[in-house]
Amino acid sequence: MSGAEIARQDRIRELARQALTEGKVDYFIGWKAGHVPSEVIPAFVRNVDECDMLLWNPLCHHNLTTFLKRKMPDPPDARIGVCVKGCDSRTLVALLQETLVDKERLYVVGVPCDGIIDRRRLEKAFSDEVIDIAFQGEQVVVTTRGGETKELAYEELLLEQCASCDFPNPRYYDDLAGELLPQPEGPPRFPGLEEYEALSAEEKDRVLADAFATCIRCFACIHVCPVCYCWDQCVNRSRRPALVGQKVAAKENLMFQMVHMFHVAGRCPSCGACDRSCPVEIPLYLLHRKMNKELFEMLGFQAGLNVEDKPVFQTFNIDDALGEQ
Amino acid sequence: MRIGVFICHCGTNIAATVDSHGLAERAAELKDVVHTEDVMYTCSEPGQAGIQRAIREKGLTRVVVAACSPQMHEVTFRRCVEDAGLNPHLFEMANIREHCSWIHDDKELATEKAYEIIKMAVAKVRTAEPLFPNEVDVNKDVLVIGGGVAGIQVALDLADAGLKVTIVERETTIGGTMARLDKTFPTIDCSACILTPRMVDAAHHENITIMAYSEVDRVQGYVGNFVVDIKRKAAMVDWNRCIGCELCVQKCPARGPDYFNAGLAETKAIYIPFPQAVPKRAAIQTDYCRWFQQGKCRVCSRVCPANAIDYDQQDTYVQRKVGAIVVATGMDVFPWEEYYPQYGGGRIPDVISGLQYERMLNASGPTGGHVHRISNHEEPKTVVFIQCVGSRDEAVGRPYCSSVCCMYTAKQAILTKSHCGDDTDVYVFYIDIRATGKGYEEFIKRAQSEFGVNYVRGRVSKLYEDNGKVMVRGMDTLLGHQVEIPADLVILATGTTSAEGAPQLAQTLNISYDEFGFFKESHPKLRPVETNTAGIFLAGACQSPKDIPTSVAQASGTASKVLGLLAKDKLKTSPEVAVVDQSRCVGCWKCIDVCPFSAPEKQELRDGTSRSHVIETVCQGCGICVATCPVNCISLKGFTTDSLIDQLEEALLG
Repeated sequence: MSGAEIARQDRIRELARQALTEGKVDYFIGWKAGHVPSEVIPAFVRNVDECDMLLWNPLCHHNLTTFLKRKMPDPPDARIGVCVKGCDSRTLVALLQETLVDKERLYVVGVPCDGIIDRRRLEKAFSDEVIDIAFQGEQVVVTTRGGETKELAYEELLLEQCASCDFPNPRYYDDLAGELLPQPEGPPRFPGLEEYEALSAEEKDRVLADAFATCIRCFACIHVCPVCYCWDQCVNRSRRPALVGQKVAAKENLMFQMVHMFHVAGRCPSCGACDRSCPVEIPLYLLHRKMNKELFEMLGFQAGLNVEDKPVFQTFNIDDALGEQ
Repeated sequence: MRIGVFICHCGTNIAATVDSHGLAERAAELKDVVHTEDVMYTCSEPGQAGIQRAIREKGLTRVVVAACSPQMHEVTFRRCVEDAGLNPHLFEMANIREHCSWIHDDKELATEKAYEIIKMAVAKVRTAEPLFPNEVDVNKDVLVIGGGVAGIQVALDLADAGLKVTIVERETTIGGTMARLDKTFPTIDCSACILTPRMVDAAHHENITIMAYSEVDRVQGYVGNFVVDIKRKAAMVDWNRCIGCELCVQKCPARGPDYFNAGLAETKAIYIPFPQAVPKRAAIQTDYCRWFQQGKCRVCSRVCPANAIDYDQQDTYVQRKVGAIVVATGMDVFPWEEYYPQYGGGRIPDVISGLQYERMLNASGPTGGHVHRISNHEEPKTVVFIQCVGSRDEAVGRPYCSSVCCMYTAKQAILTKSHCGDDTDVYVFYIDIRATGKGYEEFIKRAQSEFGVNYVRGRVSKLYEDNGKVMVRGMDTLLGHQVEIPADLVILATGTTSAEGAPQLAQTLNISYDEFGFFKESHPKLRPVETNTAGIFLAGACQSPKDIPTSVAQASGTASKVLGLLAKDKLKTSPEVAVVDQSRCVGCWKCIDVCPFSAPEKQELRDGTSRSHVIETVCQGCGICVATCPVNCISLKGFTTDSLIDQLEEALLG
């Protein structure tokens, strides 16, 4: 692990400890080691002496702001501390824009992030179970149960979206864990769409039908999505209005994901939590990232950049209408 | 549930392409349908009586009429079923005319489509619920936007009838385009002489408030209860003190462009557009004022006897509550310089626009009514008029006729003869002469025979300078040869275009406008002065190019429509409004943000949490909140999501 990463981890622990000691928060949400070495899971820290279990490394992919949705219900007046990466902070900003989280009850620790590694790709590179992952500078050292040890380049293991990250720094935070990273220049990037966009309409239909045929409707994607917040009343699961059939089949599955995409459009910054949570590895980014690209090209809009901004579907600019003329 | 379906022939309008009789037989098979009938004219008295008889005799609880657009007859049939004791919202209209018979030729396919449309209507009416209207109080004040002749006429008519009227005018004086004209056709009477008394009437009327140098900034609310924010632009002169003595204008050393004189002259940086201005108050064009540009001068403030100059004045905003709004924003002159390089594009000094010539002819204009060439100030011996510049010309994107140019050209041709003498040669190049008003054709004839104006039928292809003359090259299509006339002065009959900023205003008011920026009436024949937004009306040239008599006549028509609306003390509101299912509301308040009428509000529940609540009498049923609500907890009565899905399912799966 690089010095910067260690410094960030130390700082997260320190800030959490401080917040709990001062009574600033009732609990603090961060990341901790999971059940297997290649896994990091969310941590809910309530006591000062638990703070040392908090960790930071390139496996901390969870967007923890998902625990804040539905107006931070747990318990209704709890004061909550939470860690956010750049992408996570944008979903938080989207929720703040819609006044769906209570700023006053929130303590946000922003973590500058060099990129999260694609755990799936890493595990697939080995036929054997991975029993240890160590981060050494630019290298990731992986050991398997069979005793094989390999050094892989960190850069090459990055998630596609992290390799072209536009926002390595949090857009909203109370305290920072570590130094801010250089802000990339240039227009926003929407990677991984070129191949899809080049297809004809029929081929696109086929690609999507194939992709969604395997969906098992486990709803992990919408559970994990921080900006998908009508879970109890989700139209995808209600009989009235009967927008979506409950049959688990390619067409209905696609309809369900389309409804999800349109519902989160304008709030979704393509944090990729849905992609990573899908047990059957459906390329959900084809919908969400594509939608964000369209929003940017049509309206110059990017979700969750500034708390003061209005969500795109809540605004009407006369020039938008005049431009159509 | 007992549904009756009535299928109209509409003479042959529907029956020619749709088998109405066959449809009546097939519709009888639909679920819950207990009575079907095909009728020659369902909207006729016997047609309506048939519906009422069926309701009584067959005990119908829902009615579908398959006929024309609900725009035409929904109200008719709602009233019809209501008279027979049914709630009017248990009625649904299936449009098999505009949406089907009129647009198809193949009878078999069209009949099939009509059947599907009927099935959808039956599916929708099945879940319909009885709805009941509310009533709201009506504010009887009126806002008139634009103080030209049309706006003044509307305001005077309404004020005479006892309503309080506010005129908002963006220039410093009311009067509009008419105030800039010299004489009016076909009587050649002085434009100012007939307009200025009306301006003064408006200014002195106890029921009229004039807000000059002001613009409408924002409009909220709905028919009967609009809330309008008006921006009062900073004139840099305290109008409560200014007495209009013009001392400041005389002494001001800086010059600026003269809008009123169409750029024919310059005005002072502090200015009053014309002697009869109402209100007669000075304003500073800060872009040209020495104090604002260079930080020196302040001559006006020193000479002002009323101590009215206020260099620190800021724009202010006032709010007016009104029941109706009349839009009378008028027109502008087509910016010909950008579009007609073949006429010199504004670089030949002796080629001027019709409005500039109007100012030149005017006794209070920049030349004191003396007609002269711009280049050397000599009186012209040959004057050429060119018609249809910026009208009826698709090459410049103006296919419409500006409707006033034929007449004002004839008027100006006659005035040229009287200003410069009978021996002046006057030519008019025209495409067609349009003189359809009362006394108009006779007026053209007088110009030709009595005053000897030469009318040449043909377009002018080119204007160029040669030896101190403006060479006019064109075609005489009646004689079939080219002509070239060395002219001293060329006047372009510049067409009319919508007023600057008209599309922006339309967006502010939420009314429709066409590709040229003219506002759209609700129906060209049946609702010519109403817009599609209830409570907002049109008057004058903002709707389409109009001359003075037509504008004034329409303005009085508009006033009578406004009076009709405001004669009632209460307005019935449509029960087709949004309603919130509070158990599902997450309180994101998007509905409050997007609502153009401020209908949703935060309502605190007993547990201390807040949910959205739609105020029924304020909601106009536009449905924006329904589409915006992320949790889908708002629905529109009469158009519930379920009923729309039922319709879709019937169309796609049924």
